[in-house]
Amino acid sequence: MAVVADYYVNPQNYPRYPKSNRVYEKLRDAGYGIIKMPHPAMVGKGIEGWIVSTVDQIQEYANRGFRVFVLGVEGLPGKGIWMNLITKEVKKRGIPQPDAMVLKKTQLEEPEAVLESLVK
Amino acid sequence: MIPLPGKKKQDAQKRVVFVAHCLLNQNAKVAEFARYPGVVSPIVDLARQKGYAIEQLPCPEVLAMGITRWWTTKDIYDNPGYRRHCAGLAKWTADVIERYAKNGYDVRLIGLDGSPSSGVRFTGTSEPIWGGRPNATVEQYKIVPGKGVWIDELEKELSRRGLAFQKATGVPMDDPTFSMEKSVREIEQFLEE
Repeated sequence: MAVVADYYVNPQNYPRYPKSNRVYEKLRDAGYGIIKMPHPAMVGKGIEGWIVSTVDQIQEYANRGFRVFVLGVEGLPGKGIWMNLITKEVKKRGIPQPDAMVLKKTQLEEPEAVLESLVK
Repeated sequence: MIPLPGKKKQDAQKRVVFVAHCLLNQNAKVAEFARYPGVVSPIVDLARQKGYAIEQLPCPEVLAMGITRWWTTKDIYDNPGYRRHCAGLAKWTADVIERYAKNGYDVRLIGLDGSPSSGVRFTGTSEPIWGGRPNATVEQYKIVPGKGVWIDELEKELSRRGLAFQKATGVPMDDPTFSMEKSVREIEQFLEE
């Protein structure tokens, strides 16, 4: 299970970032289910609902034996995924933090090597 | 600060489609009903190729009953507690839909036809209504016209805000007679309208 920033599914909406589909294609072809966070500019006061429900899923999938990881983007607020809020909510529940990776802008067009340890 | 998506785009390019959760994550399906390992790529890739931004709806079934739940019908989910759960999810989901709408986006919906929760044109029912120990067969699951409970509650929340999806349809993956080839043709037409 991959919890990903909106960028990875909708790169066309990020003018300062490469229009790279490589991470999406890698996850898709490897058979990963994707939980995509909304576009950061499209969430306001409702963010708590998104965070709580996302962590509910991280907890549920992990409890059922799934490997769950979180994938953000360097340079976007909250890594494009509200990484700090997810981490805080996970910590509050006393459950294991999921594996997490934040790709740099320079890694987005050729992410295969850096993702190798995560996406199996 | 992230600019609003599509701020500099022409109106014709400002298109977003909200998709049923399981179109990006087949792990959310009831055991044995997933048709793809993860992403339902023929549908998701098509929408991306057509220039739509993709937003993923939450799955109310996973969030209420987890991923090892039994499969069930709209009749069973159609109760005050589950509707209240869906109505709660609808509030923060509708916030995102509203932002897209207020920024001039063409906002569409692709649900999961045949689903008791995410059906748009069709949902699933039973006759007589089931209860007690689960022992029904797939053949007893009846696909009938109507919306799933989740889509119903989401549209109610949007309606309260004076909003609606500009167009809505569903991929009938919960219908035993489902054909992906036929669905891709239908969704292609839907996205081009």
